Amino acid sequence: MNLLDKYLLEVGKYLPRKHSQDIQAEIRSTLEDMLDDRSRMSGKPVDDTLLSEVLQEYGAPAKVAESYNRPRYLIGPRLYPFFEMVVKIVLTVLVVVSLVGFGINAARSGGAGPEFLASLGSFFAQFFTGLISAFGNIVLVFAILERVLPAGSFEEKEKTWTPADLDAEPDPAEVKRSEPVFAIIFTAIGLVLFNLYPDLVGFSTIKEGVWISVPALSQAFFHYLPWINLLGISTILLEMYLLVKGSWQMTTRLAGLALDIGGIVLAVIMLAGPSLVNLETARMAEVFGESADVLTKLLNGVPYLVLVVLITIQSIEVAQAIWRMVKTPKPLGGFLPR
Amino acid sequence: MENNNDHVQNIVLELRRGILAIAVLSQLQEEQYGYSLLKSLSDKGLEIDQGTLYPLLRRLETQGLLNSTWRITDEARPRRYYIISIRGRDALVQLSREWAAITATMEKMIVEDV
Repeated sequence: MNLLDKYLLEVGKYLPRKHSQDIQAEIRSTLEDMLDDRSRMSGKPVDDTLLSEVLQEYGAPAKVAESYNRPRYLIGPRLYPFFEMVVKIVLTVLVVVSLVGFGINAARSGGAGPEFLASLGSFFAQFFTGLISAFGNIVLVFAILERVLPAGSFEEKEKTWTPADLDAEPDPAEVKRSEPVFAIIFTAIGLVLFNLYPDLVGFSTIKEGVWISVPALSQAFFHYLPWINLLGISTILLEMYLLVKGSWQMTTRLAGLALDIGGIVLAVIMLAGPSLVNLETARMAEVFGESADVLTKLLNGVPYLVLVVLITIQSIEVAQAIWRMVKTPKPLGGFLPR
Repeated sequence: MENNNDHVQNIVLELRRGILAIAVLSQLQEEQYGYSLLKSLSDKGLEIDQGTLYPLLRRLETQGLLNSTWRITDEARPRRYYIISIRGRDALVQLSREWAAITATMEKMIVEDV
């Protein structure tokens, strides 16, 4: 095999299979013409030395082949927005499920000691393994879709925009009527339940015609009840005001922020304090039999999990509210010279 | 200063890339093979790399603007000859009008404003 054949074979490795032979034939023809030309101009014979010069000038095989190949993507621009969306959803679900699993294991271990450390270590190991595995599977699925879906599918059609669409855009200060209504109803239900019917918070069953109930809330919870009531009533008043006004103002945003921060502070104090749940083992055994012990340990961890989630969500909301207040653009009239 | 030269060179490359298709179509009103076209364009002042020309010729053929055929020449060497197609001639007429309009606009802008 001579030098030219070796060169063309090497180029062929990088060419699209369909047109490889045709392209190689054309390159051979061009190189032979270049050799004749170079030999005529320089007076040098056509030999391997001249051929090496010409091949050097023509370029490395991979680079020559590259110009015949279309850009190749693992996941191309048409599928990438969907890939991003799926990754965000799956990772969010993974985080939530992992946290719930960890909470249950932590509750079983009593929240301290070597068993707790083991469950913490296991949580991180499983979480990161799950994360890598989930991400890899999503990439694999989208890489396959990129290669099998016909061209033109999933390409975003441009929406026709008109200035009338500006009116349809939501006012960030607007309060949707349903939001304060739901907030008032659920806050009121919570206050009535905790203040007037605290025994209903627990487990109930009918056994041999007798109603057995196991209240869950401990004495520690009732020490916090006045503060819970204060926050709850303040929330109801704020939501009623928003229902009437229909939009947020600086004063109401600050009031909402203060209530959120108050809620976070109270939740942190409750988290650090004694257990909010006190399930009597004997009563639990009456209701659940042999599995009462495990269930009691499990349920003792639930308030902690709820408080951690509450603190996390409210902290994010507080951060977003502060960001919104800082970033809200002033009306244009405020900047124009009078 | 070096950065500015790089930016200018990049823009020049984009400008040249933009005119290649018209240049190639205009030169293939008579049949030519790849290497002869390369030399013809070079003689007329348009240097083009073979790594750019040959894929461009294939692309124009896929678009129906060129036809090609393999022929064995006097030197018993197979060569691929390209010639503009009927669709290519129509496209060249439109592209030539566009080119004239663009150059007239640019002349006005550069002469008046620069």
